[in-house]
Amino acid sequence: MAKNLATDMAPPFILVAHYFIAGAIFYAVTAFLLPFYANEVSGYFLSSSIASLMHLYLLGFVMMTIFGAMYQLVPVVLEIPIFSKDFAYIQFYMFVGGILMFTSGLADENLTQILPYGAMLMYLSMLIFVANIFLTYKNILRWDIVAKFILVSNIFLTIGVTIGFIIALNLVYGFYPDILGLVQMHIATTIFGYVIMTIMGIGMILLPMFSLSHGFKQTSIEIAFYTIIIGLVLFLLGTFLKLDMLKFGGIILSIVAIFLALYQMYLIFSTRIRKQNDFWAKNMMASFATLIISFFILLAGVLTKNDTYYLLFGFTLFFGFFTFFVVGHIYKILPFLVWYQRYSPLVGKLKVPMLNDMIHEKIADAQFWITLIGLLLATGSIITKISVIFQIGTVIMGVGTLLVIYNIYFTLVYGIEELKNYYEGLENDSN
Amino acid sequence: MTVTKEMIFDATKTVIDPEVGFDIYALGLIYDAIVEGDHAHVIMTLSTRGCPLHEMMKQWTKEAVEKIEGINSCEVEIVWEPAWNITMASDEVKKALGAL
Repeated sequence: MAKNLATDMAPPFILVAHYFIAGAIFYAVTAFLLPFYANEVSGYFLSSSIASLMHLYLLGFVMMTIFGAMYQLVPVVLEIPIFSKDFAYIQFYMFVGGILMFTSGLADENLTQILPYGAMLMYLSMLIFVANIFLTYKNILRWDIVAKFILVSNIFLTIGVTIGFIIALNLVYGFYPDILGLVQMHIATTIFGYVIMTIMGIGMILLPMFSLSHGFKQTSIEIAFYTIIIGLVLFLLGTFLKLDMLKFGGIILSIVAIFLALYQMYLIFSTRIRKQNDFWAKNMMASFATLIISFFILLAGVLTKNDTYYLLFGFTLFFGFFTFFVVGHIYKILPFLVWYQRYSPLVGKLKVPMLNDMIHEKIADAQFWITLIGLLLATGSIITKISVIFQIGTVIMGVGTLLVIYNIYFTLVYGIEELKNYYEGLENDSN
Repeated sequence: MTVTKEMIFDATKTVIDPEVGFDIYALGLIYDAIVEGDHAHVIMTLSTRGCPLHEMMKQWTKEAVEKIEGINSCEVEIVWEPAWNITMASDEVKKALGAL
């Protein structure tokens, strides 16, 4: 019997669905909370409640969805099964519990005592994830640029979450004085070393696949791979040894690497055969545009040393780049998973839908524009420090989130009734 | 009845790529078909190397060809050279994807 990647190698649909559904719930919770932060974003640079919200969003939505997608994509990309599906389930429940305890402890002074326990739970869950990935690599046969990105990003994740765990313990027990240095290393390794490197790597599979691009050179992304590693290592050494020149060099190299990766994405898009700007293409364009804008904002922050720019950088990176990239791919990956589970056994027996049919296109389109308008308003309010505009902008973004949730629901229940009738008909025929 | 190459190609027209919405023959994914008695050998490619439907496409193609009267077994071989490009697709596909 032919080996089937999607059945023999990839984990069951229900496992990936755990991560996607939890991710959507955390996305909705963050969207609900965001308007209440209007006063904080117009004032301070970084408070523990902002740190709580950022973690809720990054861990609960962005990384949760990425983990789910990785369990699906790693076997397909590396052509080997995930080391342990059980590890993936254990990780999920520990991760959810850890996020809830950790973010609650960070947001509420009365709950500070649960913070280290939440951090430990989350840390252990991340270690299970990286161990699962590293053990999967033991059997790898084909080393391409995607495989290299995934491996190195997980090494950075291991370093990043270890630093994060130390920070969490330090918040409670206060044993290490240079908290800012630790936070900077934590951000560099988790956001740039893990999330952005993972996006750069899997982008090399997903973007050509969904846009049907061919014939582009990969030199840019290959140079970007080594440049970002050197950049991040220099940044970590510079921060640890307190050598500003090294640190600055690391930042510059990392930014160069990201722009090289963006150039690679441009090459892919410029050779795309699918010219229609559907909801996926729009989300991709918006994600890369907001990434570019966020780095100009970061540059302004470095040059002016104005904290508002750093807040703005974080906001556009998180709620612009990450949101558009992740949502765009939810619209592609989730229908595939549901289709595979529900319709692939019926190919040739029944008229099966196309993947695009399983997303409500008009809702997805409306969601894109609503999210973009909300983001522009909220971003503008951080510059002008007008709280009410932040509230309006984030409420509009929240409407966008609800529309994403609706489409996830739309996909999950797609065709259930019709198939129930079909199977009942078969049963009646056999009786 | 002698099974011809064209009959094999016609069978592959029943296999639809659910992501793009076209059959694999119109997409230009079928490179060749060889018939030896009641055995068929189909040489095809996929639009992307990391395609999650890789094995399913092979299986669907095999099943579609084995439905032809006179064919008992079918082997489907996926090749990556020459790499697929849009010029291999039919005009209808090119037009629908905005490449024409």
